[in-house]
Amino acid sequence: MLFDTDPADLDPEDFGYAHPDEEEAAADKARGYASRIILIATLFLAVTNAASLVSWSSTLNPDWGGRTMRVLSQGWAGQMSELHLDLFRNQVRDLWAAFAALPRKPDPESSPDPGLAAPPAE
Amino acid sequence: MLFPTMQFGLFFLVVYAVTWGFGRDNVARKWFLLLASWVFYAAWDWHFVFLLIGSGVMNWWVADRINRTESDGRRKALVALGVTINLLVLGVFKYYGFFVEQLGTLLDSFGWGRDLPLLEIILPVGISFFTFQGISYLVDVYRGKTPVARSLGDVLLLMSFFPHLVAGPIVRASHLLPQFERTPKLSREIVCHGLVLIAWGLAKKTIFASELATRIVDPVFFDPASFGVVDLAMAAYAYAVQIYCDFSAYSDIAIGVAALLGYRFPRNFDQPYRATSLQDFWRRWHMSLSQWLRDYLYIPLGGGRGGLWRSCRNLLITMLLGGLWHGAAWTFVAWGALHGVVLVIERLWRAARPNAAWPAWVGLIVTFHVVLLGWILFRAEDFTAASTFLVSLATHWTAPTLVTPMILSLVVVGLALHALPPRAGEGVAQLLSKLPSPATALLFGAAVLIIEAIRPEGVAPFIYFRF
Repeated sequence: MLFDTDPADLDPEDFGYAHPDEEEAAADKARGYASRIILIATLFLAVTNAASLVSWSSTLNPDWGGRTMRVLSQGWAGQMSELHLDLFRNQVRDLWAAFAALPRKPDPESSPDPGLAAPPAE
Repeated sequence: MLFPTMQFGLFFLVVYAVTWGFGRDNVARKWFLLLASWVFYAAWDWHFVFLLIGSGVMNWWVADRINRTESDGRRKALVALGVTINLLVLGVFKYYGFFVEQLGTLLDSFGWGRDLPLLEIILPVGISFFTFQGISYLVDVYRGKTPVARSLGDVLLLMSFFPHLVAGPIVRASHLLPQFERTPKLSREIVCHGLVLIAWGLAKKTIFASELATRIVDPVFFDPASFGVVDLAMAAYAYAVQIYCDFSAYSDIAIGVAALLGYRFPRNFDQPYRATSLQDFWRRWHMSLSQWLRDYLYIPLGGGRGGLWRSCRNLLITMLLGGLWHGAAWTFVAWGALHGVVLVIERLWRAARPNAAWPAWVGLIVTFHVVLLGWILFRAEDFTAASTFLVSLATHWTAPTLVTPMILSLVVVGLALHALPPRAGEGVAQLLSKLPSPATALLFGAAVLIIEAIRPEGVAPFIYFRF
């Protein structure tokens, strides 16, 4: 037998019909607490970080599942963008990009935003 | 399947929901976790799942035989057999090519060059970790430090459990098997600590380690002769931050993920660059490996018994083999030798001057720069690259080309993390645990959102994956 399931070896707390004591009730509450956090954080990220879904789906194989996921994620990201829910992510990203480009000389041809990191004209 | 990816995020959500859905059915939970761990491992190469299973079955069988055998000689023979098989598996997959190459070079130097059977052997991810885990289980059962596992499934799960599977921490059987035997439980503090570790690990890996790797470390170590003193020095400091952030991030996420599933892993890093001696460094860096090397190599070699010189010899052998464990290359052996020699010097110094004490800040600076020198050997492709790096670092005075305010900030902040209070993460977790779940969720979500916004596209594998 792969896992030992002999009831003789189990603690009383392993039986489903045992009344949970205070410690177990606290553990159940903590599990609910953790699940709520994970659920809310997942929903929060799904609406504010839809761009990550798009970039992940673009790495999937171009089979039916991958194409479907790409279409769905792009549609979802578009909807979130229309609601401006991607605003915070984009602003943080732009700030970081500006910080990363601080001392670099501007390259007007390749820079998507020439004004972002341009030093004073000589 | 890398931790800081959407793929792993989705995988974890499913594992979390199903695992806790089993309620108090611990047997079904363990079955499911075992299958999930194999799916996780198969994402790299499904063939090696059979190696993992084979290794687990072998270790379970040998431990079971050891437990049933009365005769000391037979028990010793069994543990030797088990350890040898584990080392053979590791040797074939990790060191075969290296040793055949060295043999070929040796034969060539005598003019006896032959075509040796070089094989293209793929290194299974995490083999060094699960092999060490198997060895520690066998030796602990032999020594009577841990009871034999109740079932084969427990041993398979001990070796395969996905949070620690590919890059540790190396969790001892005596620590994890008792946890598998009871229904896991959560507390608010543990949940919050797990979340803090996950967010912090994501930040260290995807911001500090990734940015420093792509912007300065990789280009400089690829061609050190093309860079001047400032770029080279900054690349060395940046690599010190990168490897710490990379590896400790993996450990943090592993500990955090396991915590959310109700399992406790030991701490693996404790602000290593705060160390005031190399001995202190090894009590803070990759603690599960240094404790493993101490218990299963240094002490069996004789440890501190037999006098000062014998303990120095044992220390040197342990560090040389510890270096070789990191990779099949002479640069890793040299890295281990450097650490071994400095540890020996420290030991001799303490023996000669038991009452002499350096100011802590002197010890910290000297230790950090010894470690830094070691990292140059560790990161360089070969000795030629390492020596080019070191020679250029002393002689090549040209203007810096890669040092930017961002790189400087990441290095400074990465090092300054070591000045935080030692248990800052636990402190933040305590504060979070007082908040209602929606507030904690939004704070965690916002932290991940900021990390996601900042991180570069794509993520390189963790450095320790190849070990």
